Amino acid sequence: MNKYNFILLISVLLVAVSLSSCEKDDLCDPNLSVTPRLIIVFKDITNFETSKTVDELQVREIGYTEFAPLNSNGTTFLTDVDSIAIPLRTTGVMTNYEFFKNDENGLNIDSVDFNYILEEIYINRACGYKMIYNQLGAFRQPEATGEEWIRDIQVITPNVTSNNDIHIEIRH
Amino acid sequence: MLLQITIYTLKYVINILFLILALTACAQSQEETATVADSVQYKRTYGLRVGIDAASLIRTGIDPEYNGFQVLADYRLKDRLYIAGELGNENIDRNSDRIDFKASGSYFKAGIDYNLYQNWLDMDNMVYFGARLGAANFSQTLTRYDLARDNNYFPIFTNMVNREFSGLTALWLEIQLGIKVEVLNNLYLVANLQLKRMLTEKTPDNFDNLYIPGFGRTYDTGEIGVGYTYGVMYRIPLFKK
Repeated sequence: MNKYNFILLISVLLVAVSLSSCEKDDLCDPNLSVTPRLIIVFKDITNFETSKTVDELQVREIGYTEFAPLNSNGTTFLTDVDSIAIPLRTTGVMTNYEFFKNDENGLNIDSVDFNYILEEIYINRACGYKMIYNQLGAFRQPEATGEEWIRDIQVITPNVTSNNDIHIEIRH
Repeated sequence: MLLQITIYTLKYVINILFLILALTACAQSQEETATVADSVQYKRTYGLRVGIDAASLIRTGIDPEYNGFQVLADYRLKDRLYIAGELGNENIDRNSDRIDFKASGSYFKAGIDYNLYQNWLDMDNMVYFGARLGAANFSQTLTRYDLARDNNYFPIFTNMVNREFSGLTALWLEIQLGIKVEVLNNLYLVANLQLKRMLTEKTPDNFDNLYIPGFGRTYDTGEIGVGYTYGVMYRIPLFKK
């Protein structure tokens, strides 16, 4: 092998090196499971087997002015809704939500505390970590005055690990 | 799926072994015909060739996130066949979008080099195919991470931590394609490209091996790694044959 070939090979290698040094970072695939949301379905208090929609619904963390996203599109106001997916806090052990229901009887606000134990799970280099929520509990805050529209709340899946499960059933 | 991957790995290993066998067999038959045909015999220098990898030294100089070194060695067994190996140490401090981490550790690789090049006269250059088994012992430290979320209703914090995972190991199979060119008497310039396939690795709990000394960066999508080396080697001549 002559020296020109060697120089050529070295140049090829140097090009390969410079290309590898500016390789793009892996991108996080949004289809991979990220931190799950709390999936809530609305059922009829007189028959738990039957879905019962809420005419107009908004949900807000106590103390917040903005309403929470109710689905993956980021919509914060839904009508005739029978299920929602809301985020939970990834700090602390509790998220306190107010559920705003509006219908022909007027606005009714009920508040519910969700508590849980946080657990971080490694996904991959591009996405980092996700949070899952174990031992989920749901408690209605008693109201001094007025009528509560949420008559019962049940934990269906106590470990919130994915968006494919139903975690909470609200009966009204 | 897993079974499929395992079978694929096995096929891969067997293929490489066959390739090595085929090349060795081929070498022997060529040597035999050569002795019959040629009346003039050129003697080959045998000895231990040792060297240093300039690539990792240069990268240490220009990349503030990296420092490392690697020594290279081979020993001639036959005209075309060498036992060969590398020994090195690497430290990396890598920041990315969601994860910052450090990796640090040592590795060695051992195997063979087979010269594919027919030398003229008494020249002693190589265009070679190499096969290696590589092993690393290292640690990783997670220094920052983010949570992957599909909304930002609640404030997003980045998490600064210092989680060290030590006692990690990795074992891989590597093939090399490279050259060793004699530029001065017994002094060689070396360059190669490497393709690696992970065999086994000990990964940290709730984290992954993102950079393995000797293997290089890992990919989320597979068990393949790539690398390169260029440097100089000096042959300590022991005898001629």
